[in-house]
Amino acid sequence: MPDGSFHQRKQFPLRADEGDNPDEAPQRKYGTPAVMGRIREVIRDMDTPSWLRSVPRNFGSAAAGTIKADEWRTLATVYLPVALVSIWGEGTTHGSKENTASLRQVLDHTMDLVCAISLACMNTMTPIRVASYRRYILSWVSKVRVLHPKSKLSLNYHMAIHLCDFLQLFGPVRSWWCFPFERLIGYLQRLPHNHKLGT
Amino acid sequence: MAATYTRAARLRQWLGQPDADPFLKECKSVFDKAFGGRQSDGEDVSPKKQPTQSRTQSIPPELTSLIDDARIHLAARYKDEESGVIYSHSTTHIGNSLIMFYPNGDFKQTPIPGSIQYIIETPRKSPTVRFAVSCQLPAPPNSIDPFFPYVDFPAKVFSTKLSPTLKVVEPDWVFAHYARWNIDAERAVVLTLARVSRDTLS
Repeated sequence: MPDGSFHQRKQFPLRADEGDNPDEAPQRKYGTPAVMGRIREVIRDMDTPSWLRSVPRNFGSAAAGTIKADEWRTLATVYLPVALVSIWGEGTTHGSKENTASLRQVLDHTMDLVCAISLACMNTMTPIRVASYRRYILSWVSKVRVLHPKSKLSLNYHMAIHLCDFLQLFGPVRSWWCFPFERLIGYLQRLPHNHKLGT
Repeated sequence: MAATYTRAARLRQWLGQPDADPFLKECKSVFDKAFGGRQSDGEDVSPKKQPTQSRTQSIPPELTSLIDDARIHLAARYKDEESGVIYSHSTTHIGNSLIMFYPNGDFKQTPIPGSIQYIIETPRKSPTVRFAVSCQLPAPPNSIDPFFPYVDFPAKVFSTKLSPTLKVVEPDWVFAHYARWNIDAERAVVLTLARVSRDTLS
């Protein structure tokens, strides 16, 4: 007869690995006020062309609201990498050598994802770019649980690796991404309705 | 519903084709007015309607040595009709003035960053529009470029200062816009915003 923990493991297979043990050290937080302040500073002061979509200047605060997918894309490919590299990159020190090296590791890991997103969002796709995307995304996914032990793995990580196949089969993401459908959903959500399903 | 959406998108695409019949273009403008077509920030910046600022008498002296034409006009903006991209001079919109361009139109060279200082219209000379650009100076010697290790992230450190001399750049030589942020008083990060491969253009 299986015990209760068997069902628990079956239902929540990752829970044991996620470290529910209260004795364990809490996960280090990287979004410190200094880092968030730098990100906002970059968003505020960076000179950008008018076609680049704007992002909330108060990014990180509750008043900024939900960040939409396109805003995340702009943040991830323009503002966040510039801010993080300027605060954690080469030439910066953070107290002890270990701390500096640890932050550099986290930065390199984040930049793997940034490079993967930048490559995947290109409007032209080549076999070299697909191979580079695969290399970056595999490197990023493989190190997530090493550098952030308490982070939860999700299906999106697995799907991100499959994007290489789609890039190879269908070309640039712009041709087959879901933004037009997201826009349609947004349009439908804004339509006036009476909260009753039609028949 | 998705099928209707797709049909509407195809209709918009068909109406929006650049070599369409004038009648269809007229239909498109009516269609856009009726159903909220894409607006260019509510402002018409077509070359014919661009605000021209001055005539020959008030042309800055640094331009007279660059352009061998007595009849030139200075414009605040220029819209590339093919791509729809808007370029401005630095005092109108600093972000729209930041361009990566091929030096001397040589597509084999690496594009360099610069800020458009003047947009020059020469009605009697082809091309009719040129940019006078101040290049971003190289980063100070021995300065660290923290973006160097990330080869697939197109950012590089330059000086915050611009070259005092102007270069003439034709619109066709422009590769992309770039974003600029000053890391400190001496270093500025230049991030190319191109989403196409440079190899496919050259």
